[in-house]
Amino acid sequence: MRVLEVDGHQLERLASTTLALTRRLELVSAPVLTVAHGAEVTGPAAVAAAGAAVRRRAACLARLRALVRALALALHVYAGVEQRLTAAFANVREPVGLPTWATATTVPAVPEPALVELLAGLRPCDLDALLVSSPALAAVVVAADSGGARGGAGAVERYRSLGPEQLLRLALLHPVTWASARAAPPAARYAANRVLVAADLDAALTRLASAPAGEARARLGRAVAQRREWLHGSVTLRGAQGSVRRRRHQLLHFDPRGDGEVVEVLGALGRARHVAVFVPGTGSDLRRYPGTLARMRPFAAADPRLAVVVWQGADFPDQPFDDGVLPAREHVVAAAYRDAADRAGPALAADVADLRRAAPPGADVTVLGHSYGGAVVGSALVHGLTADRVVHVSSAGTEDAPSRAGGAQVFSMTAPDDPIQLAQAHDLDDAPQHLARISPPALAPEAAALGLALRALVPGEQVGHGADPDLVPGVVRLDTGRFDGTDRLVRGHSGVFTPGSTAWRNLLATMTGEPVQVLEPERWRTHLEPWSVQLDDGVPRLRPPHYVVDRTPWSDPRYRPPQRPSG
Amino acid sequence: MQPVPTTSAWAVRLRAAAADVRDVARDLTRAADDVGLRGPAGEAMQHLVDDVAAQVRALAEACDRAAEGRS
Repeated sequence: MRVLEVDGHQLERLASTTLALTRRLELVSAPVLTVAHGAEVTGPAAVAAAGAAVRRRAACLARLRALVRALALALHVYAGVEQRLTAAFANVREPVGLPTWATATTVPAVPEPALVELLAGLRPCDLDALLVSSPALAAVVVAADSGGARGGAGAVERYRSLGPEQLLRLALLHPVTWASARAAPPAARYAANRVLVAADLDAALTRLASAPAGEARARLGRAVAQRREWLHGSVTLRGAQGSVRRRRHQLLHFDPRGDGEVVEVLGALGRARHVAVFVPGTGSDLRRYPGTLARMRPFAAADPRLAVVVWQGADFPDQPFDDGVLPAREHVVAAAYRDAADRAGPALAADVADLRRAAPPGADVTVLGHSYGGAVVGSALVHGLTADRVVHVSSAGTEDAPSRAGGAQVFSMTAPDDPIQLAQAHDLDDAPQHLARISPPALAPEAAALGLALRALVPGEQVGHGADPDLVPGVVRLDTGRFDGTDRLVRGHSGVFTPGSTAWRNLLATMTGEPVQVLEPERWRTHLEPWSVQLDDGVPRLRPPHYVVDRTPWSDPRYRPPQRPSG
Repeated sequence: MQPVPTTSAWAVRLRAAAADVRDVARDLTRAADDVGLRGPAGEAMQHLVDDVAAQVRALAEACDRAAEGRS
């Protein structure tokens, strides 16, 4: 393994040599102490010179020990090396002042001012490279910043007077402060979040080293791989004309606690004419994040003027068995509650305001919410989100945000058979009727009774997501259409994200302010099939309620939906 | 200012210490050269080593200055 582009054994040798040199320096420079503390030196100049030498010696030894520590921490990426170092140096005697790694099997992430001071002498680009490649070093820097080190919040407020190099250095040395600093420029936040990711990688590697075989270990392995991708990987955007743009990952926010939060920018935010913020739906967590990123990458690739921000900056409702169990409020049940959207909305509104400030003047902003993300966007509108365009994509609901809240033009897109329609605009008030409607006719009375019971037993004020965005006056409904060159309609809850369809182009058009193709609802007809039992190879199976398309204008090969400007 | 007896025993000890300290700085630099730190992170590590070696050389100079009684 050559993580540092240095053979691990060679680095181990350098660490060993440096430790030995520390010991040697302590011994050979000992006369400085005896002379300074003896009575032989007389005269103010000589005494001052001896005192200066003593101070220089102390500083020098501190730097050497910090270097040993830095080398040892860098070695953490090499599995097993640290344990050999521990065995080799555990018997080294005082007064060298053994670094703590020599007696520990894992590195405690505690503030180490001497080490951080040593790192502060590096050029920012070197510091960036070192911290990204040495997660244990990053953990020490994060611990130092968490301890309230200097150069944090005050520097963020004064950032406008700082040059790019100073900004980068401060962000790297004070990652906790700068990663979430709303006033900080994106480049500084990207750098700070890289250090946070590296520190989290260190923690994951430590846990992985002692994790027993099984699912937990496999999950840790995936977490390690994901963080390495964020640190060492890149996002490649391939345009339709063969252009290729490649950037390292740009995380505006990272928090591994709980299900985890992440906000990533695809494209050049600082040069963007259009900024699109995408909020995914139920089950969005760090584990599923790569799938969301993959959905958004083609949009970012389609237009170099477009920066797409994947926003998972809050805790989303879980999907079933995410934590190995099916608690009472999982999946459809948890997703029915609006509390997560209520918490996420203010954070989204604030982040969009930051993005607007970070983008060039005049850049337009589109905020898109898919499924539960639609409810998050609705909540953000209630909490002051300002955007040029808002798009509800297979949205759970508007959270009763006014259709022109924040001055935005609101669009909505729902595939004709999207099961989200089973949830749109429903809450506990209409539970008896709704449950009866989706049940087999013979069981409708029992289903209605169940609905009545739910309405009586479940606290209802947090259930449901307000109006169906497709039906709110003033909202422009977008056609999901069909896939190019086929007669296959775009279907389901997430089919709109597959490139090469009417729906996908409509989404891109809302992001870039191009004309959109609008839905003609009067030319469509669908009906709801309730729960039923169907024979599958002679085996009876339950078929959940689903929508069936009875009529579509796309059955006419010449059909073209009407267009209208989106900007 | 009193004249400093640069041939006194303590001054000789300090000069010897300065020479030994310089050897430490040289060996540290040589150790890093032997490893051949490469790549962006390796270069950063090389800068750290260079920085510390410079500090060690500064200690040697401080020893020499103390031996001569000048600050």
